[in-house]
Amino acid sequence: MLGFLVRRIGMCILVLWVISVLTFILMLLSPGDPINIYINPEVSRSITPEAIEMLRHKMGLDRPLILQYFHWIGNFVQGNWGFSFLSKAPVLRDILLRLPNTLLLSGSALLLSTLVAIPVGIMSAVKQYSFLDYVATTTAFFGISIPRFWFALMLTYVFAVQLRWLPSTGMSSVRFDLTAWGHFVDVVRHLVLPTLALALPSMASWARYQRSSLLETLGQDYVRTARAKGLRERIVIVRHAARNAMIPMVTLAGLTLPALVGGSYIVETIFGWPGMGRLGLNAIMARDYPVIMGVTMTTAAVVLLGNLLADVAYVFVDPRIQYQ
Amino acid sequence: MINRKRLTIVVAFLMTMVLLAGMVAWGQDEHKYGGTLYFRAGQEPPGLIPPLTGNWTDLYVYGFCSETLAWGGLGFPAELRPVLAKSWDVSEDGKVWTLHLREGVKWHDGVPFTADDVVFWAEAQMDPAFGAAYGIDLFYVNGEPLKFEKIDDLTVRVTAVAPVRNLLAQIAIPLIPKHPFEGWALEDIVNHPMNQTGCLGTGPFIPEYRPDEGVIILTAFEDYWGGRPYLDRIVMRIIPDDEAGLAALQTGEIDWSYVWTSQMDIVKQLEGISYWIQESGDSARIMAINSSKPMLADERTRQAIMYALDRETMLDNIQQGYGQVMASPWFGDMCSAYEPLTPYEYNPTKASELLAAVGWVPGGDGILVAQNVEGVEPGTRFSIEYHTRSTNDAYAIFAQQYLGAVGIEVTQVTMDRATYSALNNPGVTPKAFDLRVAGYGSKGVDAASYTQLYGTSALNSSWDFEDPICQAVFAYASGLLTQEEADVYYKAIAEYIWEKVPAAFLWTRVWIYAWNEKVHVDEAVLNAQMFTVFENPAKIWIED
Repeated sequence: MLGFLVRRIGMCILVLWVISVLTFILMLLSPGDPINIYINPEVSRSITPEAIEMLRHKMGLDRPLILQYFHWIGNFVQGNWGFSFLSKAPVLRDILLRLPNTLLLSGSALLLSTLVAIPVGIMSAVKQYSFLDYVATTTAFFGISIPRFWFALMLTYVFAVQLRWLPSTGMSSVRFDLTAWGHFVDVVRHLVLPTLALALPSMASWARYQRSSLLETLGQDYVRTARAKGLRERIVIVRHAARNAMIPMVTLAGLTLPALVGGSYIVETIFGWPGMGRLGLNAIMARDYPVIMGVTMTTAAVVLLGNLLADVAYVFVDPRIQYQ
Repeated sequence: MINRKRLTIVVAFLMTMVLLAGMVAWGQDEHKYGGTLYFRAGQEPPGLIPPLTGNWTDLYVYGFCSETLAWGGLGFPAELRPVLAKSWDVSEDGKVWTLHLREGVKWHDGVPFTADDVVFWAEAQMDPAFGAAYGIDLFYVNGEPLKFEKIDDLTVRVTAVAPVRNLLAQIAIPLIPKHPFEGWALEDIVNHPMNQTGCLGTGPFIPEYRPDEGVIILTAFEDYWGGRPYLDRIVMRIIPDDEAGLAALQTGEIDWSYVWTSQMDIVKQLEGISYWIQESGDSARIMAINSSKPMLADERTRQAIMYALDRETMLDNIQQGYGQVMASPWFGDMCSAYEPLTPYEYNPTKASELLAAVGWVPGGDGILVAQNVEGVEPGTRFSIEYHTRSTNDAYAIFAQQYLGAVGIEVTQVTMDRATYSALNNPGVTPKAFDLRVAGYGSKGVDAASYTQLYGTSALNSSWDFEDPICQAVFAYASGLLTQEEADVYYKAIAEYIWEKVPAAFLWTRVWIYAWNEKVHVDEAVLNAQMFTVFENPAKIWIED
């Protein structure tokens, strides 16, 4: 197991390095000059060409591409992720301030997807072709089909504006009279709608996968044997079939992570959630290269780590699996 | 003979009434103190040291937390209101201004405000190493920097190489303190922690940016020289999406928000929400025409574009009828030299006649072809590009429709902000666009502020427009001592520019704000000029 972990971590580092190279090249080769973001010449006509060149030199933008990259990667591994062209704030600081918020949102979406999709998928498989199965299947197709941003706006309109059940924006009410428990409840209330919006596609698709997986498992010989032995149907489903049917769900969770983290870009913007996704979106629009690199590397690291954890989870979910 | 006893009783009665009146007045104000105002900001602040950055969120923060020497920028009415400069003297030749600073002003950390801060601020502003995002050219006269000298702790002398008519309106940029930046090189100030957390100011509120919560907390400054603000704090919630912002206003999660004209139909139906529309006389939407391009070089071609565009219909559709179609190169009657000129009424027939006179003839596919157009190869189709950063640019659609009707083919080219800036911003020449739309603001009373639009070089121009007559008139008029003398020239040049049509003059912009009725702003006085929404933000109060 240890050897497996070491090999996988090595692969993750290699993948991260490749991502960094590709992102760096794509960014610098795309049209547009970050100097225009840094000094905003539209409002500052008195900046001389000499001053612009001085700034370009200070930012290292006048060096060859490969030297710029090695300068960046050398600083990156030492924890110096540079400064935002736009805000001039340290990139690592900005990301660390916002990352927990994104992980909270994505983690909640992952948890919600698991808690909803697995029971619904099991119920659909057990009661195949029943009314409940048709409702679940139709709802799942609906969830897979509709755009996330539209669903987010509809949730806001219905639950926040019309019903006034839940808040429409932000991570908290920013009230100064709340106790610690009150603040916790406040954050949870603000988490509901963005989590629903982010989790919808994965909830829907996972329910469908769980249904298919369980249907396949229910046809296996050992399930027939369990029934033949006289076990109650509930024991057959839960203890024998469902557990084995969940093995592909571990894979699915790992594959869904990029969608969850990437989907947070849109959801965070619509719900005003102060996460890393919103930071990344602003950086992309503004060609803020240091922030783009930092957010991309962080996102990639989170996804790779999630997949690694999924692989480790296999050992516990399926005792037949052993890593050498 | 006066009865002393009776006189004593009358005086005592009068004094008691005065005292009671004072107590009642104080009691009337007492309920105004306290509370939190939730204010919508649409963007993350890129930084918080004025004037290193300047998106709308920053400007709101500066409006609440920082102050200028005299109130208002170039968009202010003619009479300046003293703020950090309580009075000023001007020499007869208009070149020397002596500023007398207000006593008893403190920075948010309690350090007194002095002339040292003014000199530091001005010199930083003028130094390109500081990296000021705006206003650097406002500290120059005829290409030479203003000279700031400390006379004593509360007196500053400003000397210019030529007369300056409206110095304090011209340099109305928020001040920054000297003491936190001692030991810092100017080019490194941008990395000072205050640029991320909030800069010290002298204003009624103290800023604190919390990026992990997506808010900027503005806390009441107890020692504000104008009196402690009514509000305990203002919470600026960053809500990037406009529809989400409107939803938050409806649900009461925010108390105050700016509103787009397209949202007004909804806002007008909301209960408990007030709104204010300022039809701005100092900012406008303009469709820039790149006159350096051969196809657009002839002024008759540009006049034809003006006649071809139905600006009233466009205004009704794009800005829902709010605002006024421009009748002068000066944006509105806030400019003292404003006079409505002969309008360019919607007249596609006249547009076609002008284009024919230039040498364009109809092609087989309805698009004009050059036959005898100076600088254009015969047989060239009249096909131009409209550059935009938006994928659903309504201006582009109207340009395609109206100009297409007179034989000009317009192709929309959408690009991201960085590419758009690299190709089209001032500082670049020749610019790549043929047409583009932009908003310009805060030009104000003195038409000298239009120099950067009409009286500068192609390099510094927003639309590659360079005209020696305009440059000469603007340069001459800027040196005249009185506004009345200068306006004679500005009125004349306005007619010249109107004929030249360096851009299609569209309409004035509007600023709309909506707020919960529990927020009271009468004493604060709404004025949607640059840097601030309120003339006196300390006087905003909110019902509990």
